[in-house]
Amino acid sequence: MTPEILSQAFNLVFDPYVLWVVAGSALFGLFVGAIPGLTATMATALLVPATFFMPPIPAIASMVTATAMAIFAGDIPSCLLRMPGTPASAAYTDEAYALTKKGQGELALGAGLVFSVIGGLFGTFILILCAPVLAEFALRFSSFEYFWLTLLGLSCAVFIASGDKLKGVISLLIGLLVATVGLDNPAGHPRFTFGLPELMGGAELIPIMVGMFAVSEVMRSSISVAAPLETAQKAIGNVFSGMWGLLKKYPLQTLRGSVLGTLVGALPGAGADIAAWMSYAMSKKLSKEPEKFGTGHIEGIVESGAANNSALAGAWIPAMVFGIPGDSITAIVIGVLYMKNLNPGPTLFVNNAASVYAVFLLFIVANLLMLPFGWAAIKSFKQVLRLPRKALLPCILVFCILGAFAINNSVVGIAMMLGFGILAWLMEENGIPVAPAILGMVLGTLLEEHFITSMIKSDGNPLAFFDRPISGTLAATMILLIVIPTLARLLRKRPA
Amino acid sequence: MKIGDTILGALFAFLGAIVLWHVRTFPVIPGQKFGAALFPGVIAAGLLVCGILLSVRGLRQAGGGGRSIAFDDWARDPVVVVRFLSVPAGLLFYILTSDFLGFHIAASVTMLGWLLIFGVRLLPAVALAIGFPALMHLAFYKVLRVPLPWGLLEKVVFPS
Repeated sequence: MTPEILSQAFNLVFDPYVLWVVAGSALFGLFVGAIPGLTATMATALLVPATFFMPPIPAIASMVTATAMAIFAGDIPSCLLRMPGTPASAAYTDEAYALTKKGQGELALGAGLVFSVIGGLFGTFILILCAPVLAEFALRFSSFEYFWLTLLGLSCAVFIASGDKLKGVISLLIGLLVATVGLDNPAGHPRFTFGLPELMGGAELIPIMVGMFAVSEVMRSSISVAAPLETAQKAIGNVFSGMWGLLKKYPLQTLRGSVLGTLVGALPGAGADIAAWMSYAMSKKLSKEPEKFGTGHIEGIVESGAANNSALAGAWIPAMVFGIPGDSITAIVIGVLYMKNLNPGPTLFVNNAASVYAVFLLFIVANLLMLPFGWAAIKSFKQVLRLPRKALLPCILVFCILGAFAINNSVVGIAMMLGFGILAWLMEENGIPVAPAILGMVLGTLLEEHFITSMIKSDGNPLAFFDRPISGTLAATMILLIVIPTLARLLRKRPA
Repeated sequence: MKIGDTILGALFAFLGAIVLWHVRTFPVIPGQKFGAALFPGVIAAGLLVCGILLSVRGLRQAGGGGRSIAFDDWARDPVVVVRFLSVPAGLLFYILTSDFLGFHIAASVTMLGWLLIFGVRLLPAVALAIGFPALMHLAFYKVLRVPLPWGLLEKVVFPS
């Protein structure tokens, strides 16, 4: 990192237009996050059409800011309504609501806000530290290494992120199948295009994601449009008092939550929600007072509140370095990066270092802005509640229509959105995780490309996949990842 | 809607089988082992195997839960069912009519339908159904230059 690059990055970020976009997306993210049923991923999907005609940096700025704000804002209805605003807050919703019932709503909200900022900054720090080093290492990768890496990412989504492994694999296969649509294959043969010219270039990912994350969510929300919303605490005092004390009391928990969150975020397929669940469970397990958990105890909120925000930045590590999304939000972001000619991969760090550092800076700015914006959001939450969901949902749907249409200016996009919206709804209803499918769609084309290139290079000899040192190591990791859990299961069964 | 694992697995296996059968028609590149059929073929075979496994797992489930299709409680309330179905139905209506009617009319009609079904009162619903698409037109057509279809309004806006 040279001073020139840093000053270029500064100029890119601290531009009045970018700052306006950041402020606008912050409000948007807080709004979406604070409304139960609307998720951070949905916020990203809804932002896509707005980013079409923005230059790359403001486009990225809007997504980074909106998601960070949305994940925090999900804590507000958790505390006051016992309804998580986004799935990432679900892990500690009962705990936060119990605190509010005890008259300590300020403490729960404040901890949610302050430790979100700390976790977010920690994740950003790791991103800044790790991504350039990894990118330098990844410059030496060839198609063999990328093949294994992509395969590892895909198996991660199935084996770590989903509860039901068999259904996880099925979800992944569906995603991979969708990725094979189009002309982009070794023979240049139009696969599964059903004669539609719109599908020749492959299934467009953005309408699919808008469908899977926004339309399916609206379908779920449409079941109960008029939920009786009454906050548990009328007036909210100073949310910042007592925070310093919490930080001094729980430094280890804060660090643990942030580290775990960043790691889970960086693993493909698992994002902020899984980070929060794992972190809350770990906090309870390692706590000195586990019996207090569930009765309105702040410790778990500190730890998992830090975890879900650090996961956001963690997810950008594989996304920027390898083009492998760490969560469903970065899966959408990668699509936008390609549109903006900022193709993710190690070369991005060489050819476009200023943009990379601008992204880092944006993460810092977004997390710091969370303090004032988050405070304002807590104060004005009651006004947000007055907005009737029954009027909001149709507006969201019209916005989805526009987003899906604007990609190719064709109704085929809207039809794809509808189809995949219904599919995602059915999948979630039946316990089939959506994340592996998304990852399969994003990575399927790359997997095939790297496989075919490697096979042509090695003249059809599959052993070439194990020849090179890095490639061989990745292959071994991949095999261990599959063998160890199977062995463990067999060994556990034998004594019984 | 909860579909039992046996039925779900059978559906996936069927999809896998169809794809497997279809990829056999893909052309082969002379002198090369890896053509267009390889990847979809492998994926389809995977779907077939996983689908069968899921089916078998469903059969073993106690009480025959794997073989049934069950609806949630809300599905017994016709008002809620109509509300739920109106989401895909409205989108389908827009897809089918927007070219002919144009964005403004199609979006306003669809939105009015949704608002009324969701229980918004008539006057605010009409205002929002006209106002919101107009606002979106301003943002997407004027500012972002997305060529939204004019449809029926084309002759009104561009009289030639």
